[in-house]
Parts: sequence; structure tokens; C-alpha cells
Amino acid sequence: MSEAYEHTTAAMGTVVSVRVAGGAPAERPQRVQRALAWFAQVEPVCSRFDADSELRRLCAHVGTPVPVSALLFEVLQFALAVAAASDGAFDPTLGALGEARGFDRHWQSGLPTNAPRDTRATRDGQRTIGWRTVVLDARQRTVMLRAPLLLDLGAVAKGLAIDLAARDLADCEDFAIDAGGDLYLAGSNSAGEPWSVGLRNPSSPETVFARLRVRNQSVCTSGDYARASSDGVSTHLIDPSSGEAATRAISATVVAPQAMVADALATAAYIMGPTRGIALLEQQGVHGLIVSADSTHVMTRGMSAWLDHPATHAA
Amino acid sequence: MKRDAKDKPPRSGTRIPNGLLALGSAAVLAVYSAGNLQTMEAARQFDDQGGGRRRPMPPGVASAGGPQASPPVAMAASAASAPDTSASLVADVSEALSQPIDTQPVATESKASRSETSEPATPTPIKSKPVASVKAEADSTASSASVGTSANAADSAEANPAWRDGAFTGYGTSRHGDIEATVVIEGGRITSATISRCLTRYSCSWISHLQGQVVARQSPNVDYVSGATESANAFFYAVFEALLKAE
Repeated sequence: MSEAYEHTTAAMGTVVSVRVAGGAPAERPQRVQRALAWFAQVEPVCSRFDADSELRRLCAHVGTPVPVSALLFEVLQFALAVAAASDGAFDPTLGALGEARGFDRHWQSGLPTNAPRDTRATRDGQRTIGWRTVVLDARQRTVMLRAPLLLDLGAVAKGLAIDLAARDLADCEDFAIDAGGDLYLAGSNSAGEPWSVGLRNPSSPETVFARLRVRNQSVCTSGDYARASSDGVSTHLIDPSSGEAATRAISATVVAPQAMVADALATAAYIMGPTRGIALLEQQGVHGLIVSADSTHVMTRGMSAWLDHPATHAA
Repeated sequence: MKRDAKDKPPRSGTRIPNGLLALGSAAVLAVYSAGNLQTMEAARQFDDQGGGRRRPMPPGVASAGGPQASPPVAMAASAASAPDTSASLVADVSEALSQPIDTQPVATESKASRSETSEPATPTPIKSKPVASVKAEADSTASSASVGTSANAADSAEANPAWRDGAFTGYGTSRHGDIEATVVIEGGRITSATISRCLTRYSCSWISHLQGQVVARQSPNVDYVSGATESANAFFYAVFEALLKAE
């Protein structure tokens, strides 16, 4: 088997590597660069960190429909669809996301907040946030923010970049994309087998607690390992859609044919917790595994087909 | 009688006809079609230039029809033009910081997990190699050799003349939030790498308290590792991006 070509770079605030084993060997370097170029396209549009990004400039306009690029529109539309599907647990309006996760500190000031855990409530007295404040017009391709807010498209944007790169490499058959632990794996690894993927152990992040075998799938994980290993932290959060206490997830892994879906749903499932999170994955026809705060593992019905070994397999 | 079709359970992904998989697929197709010409041009320019120095990314809108050649070329080119930068980066960063941090992005861990035992204690996470020498070999022993090569470069690199003096910022992101790092280069060496902005939900003092985590070579026989990005990794990503700007 001819050698694979791999290149690694920094993009979208993370480390991205693309490895190509298929296609004509002499063309692999260019194919890898072309795939990585998609990350450079997505970032200046969707970055909430870059003050000049299209996203940031959109967020500077409140109350008027703003024409946006096709890329930004699609990312926003998808993020809002995930918000709707998860009944608000996943919410691209940043502040709401933090509250939904049970963080008890205002994300900007770091000061503790005693605000009720309602993502749609007025928080600092001036704003109403929540995904429903974003209004899309598909025909005009405009976005209107009905209230000031800062959109967080991180999960969706990175997934989209991975999917674009994967589509670009589709004819190469055997390739792998790794963007900070969000993966898309196509074809076979160098041994001619489905790609093996270790799932990081939340309580011992240098090890893995399970191994998957996947082909032509994305694997994305959302989690909070600091919380997993800290003492005295409540294992419950208030589910923003029900207002009730829900068992906390420590990590959620999703296997899906597309990274944008896997990335967003891993985040949503993590926030929703084991019961509601798995239910959402089942409903959307994807697979996944959630590690609960009580160290149990909850999986979709078909997830075991992806597992190489039982969840208790010692790495 | 056509009862069979109705009785069949839905295939995975077709449970909801207008579900997220369908929407995502349409979105990717729409964006890919709109942007494809730009990436082809970027790749062609990368070849023509043979890998030049990084140029700052142009601000603003990547509109569907607009040219976007510089960022892809610049990013890839910069990564390719400094093969030893990344290797020495980790050693220098670790020295500059007063407390150990985890500097293990997943990319390294996945490769290290494939390698056998040759991974150094101070990892070389970023493989930024010129086109000619990047060969992720088909079998795992060869890939451990390529990792080892990077490690040797770390040992031999002192002041790195590829870095310009000055202060450079980069950012990294995790699901906890963002971290901006500022790296100061003096005389071609990193003299400090600090968190200039901490936008993570948890205090960034978490980073200093995290024990240096060993590379996931303790998890053998996996091609890749999927895990949530931790804020310590975000710091490393931020430092790495800052150093790319210093090249």
C-alpha cells in the first residue's frame, strides 16, 4: 500500500490534521491542502473571536434584516434547527448555552450569578436571549437579530468545515480528518480495516474507555472533564426546557454520517443529559454514547454495532 | 398488497424526513457548490508558490462568489515552511511557563497512540512539514519514526531564527470557551507565553492545576481519539497560532 500523506495545521482555534491514503499518491499533498482550505474559508465567516468576521459584523446590527453569505446563512439555519430539535438545550446564542450547561458564572465577568436557570429570561435586565430571537429569511437570505446577542457557532462551524473538507476528498476513498477531536473517517485505515477511534475517558483523559470501529462516519465528543474530576460538584443541572433536575452528562459522543450533525448533537446531548440526550439522537437517526456523572454509560440502540469492545474495555 | 414497505422499520437517518441529517446534507452541498472554485484556486496557488510565508488573513466576508485565495494558501504555506518550529515550540513553551500545562492536542495523541514507545515525554504535537518530507507511513512503526524525527528536532533547536521578535497573539477554543494567548519572542526565542484573555467558563487557573497529561500512547491500537477539547488544549492552540504569526 502506498504511503499516506498527512498535514497538520492550526485552524478555527484548534489543531486540524488531514490524512489521505487514497487517490493518486502524487496528488495527495495538493488534495490535503485543498481540504484544509475549507477551514480557512469557514473561519473568517463564523468566528466569534475575530472582530472582523462576518458573524461579528452581523451581531453589530440589531432589529434589521442583514444580508449574509450563503455559508453563514446555512450555518445559522442549521444551528437554529438543532436548537429547535433539542428544545433549546442547544442554543447558539452564547449566554443561553452557558446557562443551560449549568454554569453558575456570568461568562464575561466571571462573577457568580443567581439568575434563574431560564434561558429565555431577562438576564442582566436589558436583554432577552435565546435562539428564537434570531429570524431567518431564506428567500432574501437575511438574518435579523431581534435583540442584541453574541452568537456562538463554534460547534456547527467546525463540523461544517470538516464536512466540506470530507466532500472535497470524497473520491480519495481512504482519508481521515481530525479537528481537535472531532473526526471524519472515510474508507479504511492503513491496515485495510475500519478506522479505530478511542473515546477519551473523562475521569482519566489520558486514557480511553472504549474503542469504536467506523467507516464513512463522523465521531464528535462534547464534554466537561474538569467537572468530571472535580469534587463537590452537583451532578444535577436544571434542564432549561423542563425546569427540572436532570442527571448530568460528563461526555457525549455521537456517530453520524456528517460532522456538522455529530458536532452539534454531541453538544446538545451533553447538555440534555443521558435520558433526553439519547432520545434526541434516536429521534434524529444517529448513534451515540453518553457517560453519566454516576459513571454509567447510556447508548443508542444501534451504538453497540460501532463498538469494537464493550465500554468497560481497558485501553 | 404493499404492506411490506410500511412494516419495515425506517433506516437510520430516515426517521425524520426533514431531520437534521437531511438539513445538514443540503447545507454542506449548498456551501460546497458555492465555494468550490475558491479552494481549487487556493490549492493551485499553493503549488505555484511552493509554500510562502504566512500573510495575515483578510478581514471580513467570505461571500460565496468572492475570491478567498490568500487565507488557505497562507495558512498551509506557513505550516509547511517551518518544519522545526512546532517541535521546538513545545519545549520552549514548557520552559517559559512556571507551571506545567497540558499541551496535548488530539492530533498528536492520535498519532502517538499509534506509535509504540518512542514518543518523548515532551510531545511534539504539531507536524508541520514541507511537502517533500511528510510521509505518514502506512504502518505504525514508520509513523512512530516520523514522530521521533520531530522530537529530535526539538532537542536540537535552540533560538529559532524563523520567529520574528515581538508579541503575537493567538486563540484557541474549547467547549469551555476561548483562550487568547500572547507569546513574546525576544532574540528569536519565546520569553513568555501567557493567557491574555480568559473567556472560558471556568477560571483559567484550572489550566495551571491540570497535571501534565501523558500523551494517549497509553491507549494503543487506536487510529484517532475523540474527546472533548479541554481548556488546556485551547491554551496550546492559542500559543501555536501566535507562533504561526511570528514566522
